[in-house]
Amino acid sequence: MENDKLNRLLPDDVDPREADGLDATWRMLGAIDAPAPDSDRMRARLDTVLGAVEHAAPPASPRWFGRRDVDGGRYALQGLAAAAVLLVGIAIGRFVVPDTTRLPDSSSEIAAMRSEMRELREMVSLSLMQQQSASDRLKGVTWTGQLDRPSSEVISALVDALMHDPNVNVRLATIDALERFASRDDVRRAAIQAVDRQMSPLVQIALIDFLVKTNERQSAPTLRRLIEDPQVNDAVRSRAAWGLQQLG
Amino acid sequence: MKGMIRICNAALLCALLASSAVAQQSVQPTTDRITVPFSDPERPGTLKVNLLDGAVTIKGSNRRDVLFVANSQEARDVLRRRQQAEPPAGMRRLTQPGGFGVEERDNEMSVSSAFNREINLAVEVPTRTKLRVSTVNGGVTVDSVDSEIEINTVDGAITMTNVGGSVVAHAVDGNITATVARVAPQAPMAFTSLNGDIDVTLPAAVKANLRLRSDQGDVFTDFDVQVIASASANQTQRNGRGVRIDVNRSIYGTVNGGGPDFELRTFDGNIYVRKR
Repeated sequence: MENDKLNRLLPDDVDPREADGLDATWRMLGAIDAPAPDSDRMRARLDTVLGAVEHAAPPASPRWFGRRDVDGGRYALQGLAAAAVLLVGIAIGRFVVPDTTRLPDSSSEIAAMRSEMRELREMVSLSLMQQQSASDRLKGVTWTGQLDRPSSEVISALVDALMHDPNVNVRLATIDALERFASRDDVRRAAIQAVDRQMSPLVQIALIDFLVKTNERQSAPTLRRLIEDPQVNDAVRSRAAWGLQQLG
Repeated sequence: MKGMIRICNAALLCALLASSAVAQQSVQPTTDRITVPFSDPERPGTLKVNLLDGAVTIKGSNRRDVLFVANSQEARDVLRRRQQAEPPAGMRRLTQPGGFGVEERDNEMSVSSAFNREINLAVEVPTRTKLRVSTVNGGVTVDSVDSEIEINTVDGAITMTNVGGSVVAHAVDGNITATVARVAPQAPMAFTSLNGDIDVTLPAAVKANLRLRSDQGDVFTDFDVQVIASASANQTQRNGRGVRIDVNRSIYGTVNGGGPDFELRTFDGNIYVRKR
């Protein structure tokens, strides 16, 4: 019945079978499952990013002069001012550097290129750490070791991988990579949290070693809990006992 | 969408089998056989296997689709949870299908077993298929696959022969034995276990940075490893919060001038790094 109604509404030059095909496609599109977001992971990532933002300095005000919703006249004025500044700049440039054959300031250019390279390397590491393949993620984690002064985005990505990466070997590698940043409170806090949540005994042992190495005394209650938990792997419990003794 | 195949239970498999029974006379009564195509056979596909009880054997071969042979009886005999009942006089035992599902989507094929059903899977894949395999009770064997290989087991051993590409393997309580014939350039690898031995054979010319560590066992190799001081061992205590205790027992070394990181780590086993 629905079909008849549809057929009547269709222009004559449209093949009803084509309309049926479209209808079927439409229904099949509706039947596709929307990919369920991995909300725990997303939440955790959001939290780490928010944490990083909170710790950072307050952002500079975006308003330079005047309100943002100024009228067109103001914009024209700004444009004129910008053009004037540009002209003055060019004039100064001409006066200050009269010799056109002189080489450009190479040291500042190299510095700029270096910082660009660093950003690029960071970007590559970060994107590798988001890949499906465990080998790619391992590569991303080890590449962070080559970054000179990685941003806190890199560190929070490493912490995120330590907490949530599905592969044991990737989590193990992040512990080695995070060792450079052991002086940061958030990294050591994450290590304490991770030792509690880990399902893999090998990672737990590596984390206990990390906490002992960084002399993290605040991990003592967590280590004590591990020792007393009969569910925890025996090797982990004896390592925790050793760790507790080392931390004294 | 066209390439999406969803096969939800063994009953359907059996129906498929019945329809192709004329063509496949050799099908044995205790095994389920099925072939599943990739939606784009020109690109390397991915095979994901998640099994609770049962072993997986994966073999690379010169084919375009994936052949699954499931044997539930064999797995049940190995992993029997309860005493086998004697058949009453005049009766015989019928084989129950193991039950597993295969799903293909965007060149990614996922296999999983029904809950509490033992199943041994033998799989034949195109050589360049990427593997992501995880089992709980049961070993994983991979032969002649050239790709990214990722394997996790809890109670099973991992055995790899004639593989290429990159390997990331972890066995909690099993041994890992791997012969890597061809190494992908710049791809890091990792072989780790809690209680198992790690025995890895690499091409003699492999360029790699090795990170070797056994907490309670030994490390053996016939490679000429140039041991380098660990990066962290030379660092002084930064926090000024007491004495730093060095617990890093890893050996860091390069072979053939160094390359990507290969991590071999076990807590309670030995490590063998062999030259091929």
